[in-house]
Amino acid sequence: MSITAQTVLERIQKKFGPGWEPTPVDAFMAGKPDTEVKGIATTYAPTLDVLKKAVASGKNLIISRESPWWARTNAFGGGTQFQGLPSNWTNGQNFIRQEEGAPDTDPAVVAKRQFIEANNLVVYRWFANWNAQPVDYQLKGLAKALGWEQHYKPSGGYPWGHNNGFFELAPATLKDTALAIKKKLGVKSIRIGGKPETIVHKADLSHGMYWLPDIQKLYAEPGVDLLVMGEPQWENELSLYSFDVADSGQKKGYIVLGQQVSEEPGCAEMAAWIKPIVTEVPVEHIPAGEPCWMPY
Amino acid sequence: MNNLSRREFVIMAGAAAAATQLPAQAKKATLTAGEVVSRIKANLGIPWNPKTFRDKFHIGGPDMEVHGIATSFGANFRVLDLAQKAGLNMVIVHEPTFYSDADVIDWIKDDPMYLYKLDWAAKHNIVVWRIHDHWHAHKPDGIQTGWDNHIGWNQYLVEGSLTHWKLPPTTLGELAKYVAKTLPSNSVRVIGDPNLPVSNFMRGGHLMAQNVTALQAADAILVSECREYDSFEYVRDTILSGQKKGAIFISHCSGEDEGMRFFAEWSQPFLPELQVKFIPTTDEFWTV
Repeated sequence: MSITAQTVLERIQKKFGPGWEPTPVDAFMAGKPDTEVKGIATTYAPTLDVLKKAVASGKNLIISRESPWWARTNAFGGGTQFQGLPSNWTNGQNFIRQEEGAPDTDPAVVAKRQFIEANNLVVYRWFANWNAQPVDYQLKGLAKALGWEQHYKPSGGYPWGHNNGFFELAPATLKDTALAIKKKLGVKSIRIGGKPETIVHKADLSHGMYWLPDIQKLYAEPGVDLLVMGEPQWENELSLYSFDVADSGQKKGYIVLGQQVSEEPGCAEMAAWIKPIVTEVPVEHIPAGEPCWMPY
Repeated sequence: MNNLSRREFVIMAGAAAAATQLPAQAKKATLTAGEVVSRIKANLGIPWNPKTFRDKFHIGGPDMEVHGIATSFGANFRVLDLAQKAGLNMVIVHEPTFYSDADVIDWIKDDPMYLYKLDWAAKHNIVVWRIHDHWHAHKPDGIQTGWDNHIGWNQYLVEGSLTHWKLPPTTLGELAKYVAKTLPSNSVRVIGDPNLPVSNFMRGGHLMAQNVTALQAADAILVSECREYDSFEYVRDTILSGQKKGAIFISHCSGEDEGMRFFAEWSQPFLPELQVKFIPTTDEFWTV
């Protein structure tokens, strides 16, 4: 039985249920929706390397969190979740915008487009609607990757819901906690704020990008003395807040994993979510891998 | 400059005239924060944009008496505390004080960190004034000039540029180590082969489009805080597509802190009554 990329999307939307919003960040970004699907790969970023691995394992539909063309349509409305706001909406510093990307003639664009066409690939970006589910699968995936599931202590609300990533950890110094996270995730480039000797007990785990109101809520949660996040937007705003918290005498730490590191495990959850509804072809998570290293 | 109204021009001309009377004022033991700002405006050499939401007082105001000036990248609590201990109660910074670029107080008016910082500053008579837009607009860009002076590559600058160097041949790995050690910073990140030969080196920016342009024009680029979902992945795909390129990513602070050392050096001569001292914000990130 053959299945097209469009049919895969329709099955995803059916399982998702009511309330699927059309957004610019949930869309086919490359290839033709009527392409017959041989296999599905989910990933954080459809890098050339991920595309090659997909082809090598016989998969031609890539479902990704980020765009193959990098430039992102951003949505900030007091949080990282897409809120379905019109593109001309503004409120102080919050805005939705399409970032300026690379020109069509850029060599990386050309190479990627050629590879996608030559191999009959389809890339679908699934972002806002994936995030709009009551369960925050990105959080769940990251907690699993950290081995923290058994430490989960939701703060009321919806278990595994958004902004509900609280974990009671065995007390350890910030430095040792960071080392344990680094080792468990097998990464090279995490960044830390706060005093290394601070003992941390309760973590707020988050992923991706956060905005000021989010971080305020997280620090206000009773007992939280460790914030683990993907990427601060911006360092002179969010990181400043975390540095100030620690430097003004509060015994609290701050660990920045990196956007890819924080979001990739959730893309494994995405593959697991799709698997039961697309039984005709293999569905596999292909990690993009940590993009960077440190010169120390 | 063409948007400068007649009224603004008159204000500026007055400020410039005031600055020429420096010797008479030098007898005063202290200045007000407002007088300090007037001198800065008069010496900038560019018209002041009265519509800036950044370059203004963020703690305290123009009437406060100044006993000494600290300059730094950020109004981090750590920096304010060091300034206060050094007896410098006016802190001139490049970046926000209260956690958003426009320092929107409405978002944080009940925030415990905001209230603590504000109370602490009031108790210690601290005044914070920000110069972001106008220090970049200074000719040459004050932030980049200060960074350049510190990194030590001025003899390699491509003529007419502050952000493009033809370095003696090195590798991406060696260059990253030099940058990390010289800044100094414990949070430098790199994309690319450590053995990549690098000579043509250029600075990118916070935004992806800036990094696309720079990376196509250089062997490798230096980027101070950018978004990882676009710039990081663009650099990675550029390398995966077979181009011999690389990128060194430094913190926002590491990319601009030294620009405020230059501000202290630049402003001390026209503020002879007061000590103007650079207190580095220093990249507060560390790694394991």
